[in-house]
Amino acid sequence: MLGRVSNRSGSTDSGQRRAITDEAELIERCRAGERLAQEEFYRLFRRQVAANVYRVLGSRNELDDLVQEVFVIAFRGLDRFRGEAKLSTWLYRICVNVALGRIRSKTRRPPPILEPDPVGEGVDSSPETPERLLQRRQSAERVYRILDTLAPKKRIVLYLHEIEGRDLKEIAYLVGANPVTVRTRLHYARKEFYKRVAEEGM
Amino acid sequence: VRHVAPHHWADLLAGRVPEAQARDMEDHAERCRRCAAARDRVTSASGSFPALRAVEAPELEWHEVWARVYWQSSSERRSGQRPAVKRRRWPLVAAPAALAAAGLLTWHLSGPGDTAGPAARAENPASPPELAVAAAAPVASEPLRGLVTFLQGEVFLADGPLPFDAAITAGTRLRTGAGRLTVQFGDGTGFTLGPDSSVELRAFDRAAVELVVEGALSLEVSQREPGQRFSVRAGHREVLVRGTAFRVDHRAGALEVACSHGRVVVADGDTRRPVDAGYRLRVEPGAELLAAVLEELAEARRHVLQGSPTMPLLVAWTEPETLDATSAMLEVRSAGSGPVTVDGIEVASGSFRMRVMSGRHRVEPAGATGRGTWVEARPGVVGQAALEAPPPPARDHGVPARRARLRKALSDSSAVRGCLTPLEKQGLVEGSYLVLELGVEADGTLSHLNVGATNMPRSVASCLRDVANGVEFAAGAAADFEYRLEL
Repeated sequence: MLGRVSNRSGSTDSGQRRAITDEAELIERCRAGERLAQEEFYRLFRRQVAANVYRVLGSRNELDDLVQEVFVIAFRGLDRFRGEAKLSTWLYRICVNVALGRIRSKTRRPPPILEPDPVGEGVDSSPETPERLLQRRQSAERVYRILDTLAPKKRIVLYLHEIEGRDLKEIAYLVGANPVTVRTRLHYARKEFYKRVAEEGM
Repeated sequence: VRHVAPHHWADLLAGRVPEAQARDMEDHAERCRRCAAARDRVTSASGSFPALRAVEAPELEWHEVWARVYWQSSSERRSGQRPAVKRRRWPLVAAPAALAAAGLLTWHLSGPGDTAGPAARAENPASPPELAVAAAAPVASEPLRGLVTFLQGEVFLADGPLPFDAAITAGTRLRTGAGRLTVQFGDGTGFTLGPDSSVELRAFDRAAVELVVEGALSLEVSQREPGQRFSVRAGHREVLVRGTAFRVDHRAGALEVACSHGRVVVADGDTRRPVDAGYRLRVEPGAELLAAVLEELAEARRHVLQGSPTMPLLVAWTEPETLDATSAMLEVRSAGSGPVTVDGIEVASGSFRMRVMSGRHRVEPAGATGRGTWVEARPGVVGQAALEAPPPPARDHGVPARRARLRKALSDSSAVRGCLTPLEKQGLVEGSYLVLELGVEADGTLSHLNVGATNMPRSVASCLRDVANGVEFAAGAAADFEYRLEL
């Protein structure tokens, strides 16, 4: 079952139809509270969910808590999932909202137990010099440090547009706002972000 | 000199600047060191984006995260609309011998010994699992071992206090004073002993589980071992267990069996009375089982029984020794007497100890998000959470009436429809929402009215706020509350 569902990118039409059917079946079984199905759902999407949240926040502090939150919300909300977006997009939307909640509540949370672990390690497996690795890590740290200074809503739209490369319509769906609002937020966020980049230096 | 705004360098890099303008910008940077530096920095930052986009997830303790996900979502399901217990389906290729055994058992159940009467049998016909108990091959009597997953107040093992890490095996006798405990001994299977009660594990292995109870005992049995006999003995009567969840209360000769899921059968000699989900059977002291009254549980009682938070079980069950090594004790000390949630699930009121999966857990007074604490619990490291007493309740008893008044005023108001006209023109009504924060005094006047979260344009939100400002509240209890208007 795991293999069949994860084979969504199959090249044939029948393969795709099969994968979609399997995904629908998996969703149905999850809705029925079937434990094995939920575990399979978790196995299928856990890395994708963790990577999404990790990239939005740029830190692995409390990442396991946030991944837990995403899946709990997903299982709670599967009844309302009607397939108007791809399942992965729907899950990504939950990731974005959980990450947004994390950003908003950061000041109210206890200090992190784990050491900061900035995004930027292990991006690709090709060999590179220690200097280049260090430079890339510092660059990632600076980007996230500047993102941290933005208001949460601006930060999210800026991240989704500039780093993830998503368009306004997608962002509007992900953050639950209308495209006009997103465009306005993005305009101010970009001005603010790049101004700080220019001032701080990379 | 007109400098180039830094974000325009990002536009240039993304190819969103016309060629002529790009040339002007580059020319300017040739002459302006400040803009050249800004261009280089923006270029460097933008150059790091593809690498950030490709970052993969770090390795997490996936099993632990899954255990916590399952714990929380299954607990939520248990406390809400839990799906009905699935009945086992019987293969159509039953052997003649099995049919003969079933026939014999059916004769035994419905023969002269069965004094439950035709009405009771018609109401609760013998179910296939009963036949399975007789027909299944006997299983090896491998001993079971239970783990304490919840402990509160006075709980004793023999004459001394029960240690949290005690092994619960056959022959164990547990007793409670003003306290209760939960013991788990399988996946989704365990029992909770209520206050002033005792239970003896007379048989506790894969072939048979027999619990002798005096007082209140709740059981949840998600799946029995094949062929396992599972029963609760209450005086001279016996409650035979299928895959089910139910509660037995046996005090001073009276017996009450209330079933929340599945089905149980109460037996007294040859007399048998089935009790289905949503029913309770009460036998008065000295009365015959045949005369016991089977009645439907009131909605409120059923809700309490089904949503009972008395069974905090671990989400995964493997070997007790493995669980010993991977789970941890969480000790909650609450200054208040109200209910406490762990990871968002209401567990118990007051102070208690419970078993949790290793990791961080959120402990909060129920309904008081933000006043809780994060606790780290690891094997060998007791997680300790201290909760302060809640502030005295104030101004909240008037909320329902005030909210109802506001809902009515906003739902059939032409003024509201007027406010929404701009949204209708853009087709943005559906999915829009607005949160209003209000304070209403005892005399009905507004003490404050603010717009909280919204995805509407400011003008529309202000218009709706003005409509709310015009709502007349009657005198009554003061209230501070939030009202969410969803379209």
